[in-house]
Amino acid sequence: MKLTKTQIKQIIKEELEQVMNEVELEEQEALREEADASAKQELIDALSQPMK
Amino acid sequence: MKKLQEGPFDSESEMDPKVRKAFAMVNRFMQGIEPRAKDEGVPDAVYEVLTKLSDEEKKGFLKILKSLTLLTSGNVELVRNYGKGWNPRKSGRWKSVFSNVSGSVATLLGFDINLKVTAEDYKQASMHLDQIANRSNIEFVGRNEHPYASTKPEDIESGKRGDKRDLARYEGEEISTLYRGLNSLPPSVVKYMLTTKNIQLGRACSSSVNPDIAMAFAGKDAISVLFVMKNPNKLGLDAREFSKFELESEIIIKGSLEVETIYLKSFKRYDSPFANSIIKADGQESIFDSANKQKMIEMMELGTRVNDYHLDELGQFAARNFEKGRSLFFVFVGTIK
Repeated sequence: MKLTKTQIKQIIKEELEQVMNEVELEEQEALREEADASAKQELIDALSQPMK
Repeated sequence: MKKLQEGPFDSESEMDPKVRKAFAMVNRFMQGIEPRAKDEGVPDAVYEVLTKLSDEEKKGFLKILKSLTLLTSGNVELVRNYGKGWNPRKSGRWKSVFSNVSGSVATLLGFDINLKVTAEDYKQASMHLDQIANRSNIEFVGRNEHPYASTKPEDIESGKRGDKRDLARYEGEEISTLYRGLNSLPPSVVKYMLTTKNIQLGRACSSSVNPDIAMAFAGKDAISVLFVMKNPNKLGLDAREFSKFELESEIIIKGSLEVETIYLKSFKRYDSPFANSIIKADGQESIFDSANKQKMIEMMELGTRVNDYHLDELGQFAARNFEKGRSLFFVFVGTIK
């Protein structure tokens, strides 16, 4: 199968976009996990304080 | 009943049941005694209980006393960090952190309360609390266990009162439900609590048997949160009579809260935590499936106190019990696991 230059460019562009989206999703997931861990720790800290 | 452990730092043996019993007895016999009388020293009944302990048992008792003291009135951060960051210049003496009762008991057990609190003390307290706060160390003490009790159950009027009835009442009340108030929480923390089904309570969570204490603390500032924690296994370390803040009726627990129901309402100091709720959500439902949990997050994003945006969003009828200007109040009901 022969591909034209434009088609190759298009394929590369689509692949790149897909990879970038995946990276972005992973980063968002990592940020969410980090935020959850931070919120969890903040809560534990608050709970260890006496109610005075 | 689950058994307590002393902790890995000195032995792997289980705590002597006599120590646990003595701890419960001291807690029990301190109840109802005038604060001024407590300041003067331990009552005779407590003296009788403590002096009967062996040297090893006294050490075990003292260890519990020191651990809970550092958690309730010492530097909480140092307890959390196993003593890391301890500063000798800022370190106080035991007599300044012990409550009057704990100080008297510690002295009776042969401890010098003029000693300084060390990093090692914090480390040991930390490890000790890890071992004991998620176990049941609460034990029933019958009236006939009082050193000066007569040999037969007494009830002058009916003859029916006695340890059995006391035990039934104890099983039904005491620490079957614990309460924890929180205030000034950032929305991100409340959001985390709404998205998780099991809220981690950490290694040593301070709670109370008295809902009023928790409500008063929760109401100090927005956002207010109350945990209503069912405690069927009576987990925890009973600090009620030993804590410097005796009025808190404090129980120290470790573990997690399996959330069953969440309520959102506006905070009102003397209202029942469950009355007039605006939104009710199933604690075990996923955030993605629960429209009500999502609605709660949405409410929080509109402000930490009830405002016009909340009322507009909910509609006049649904928001009729949502009082403008009051703090958003989340009530989490669940079971300690």
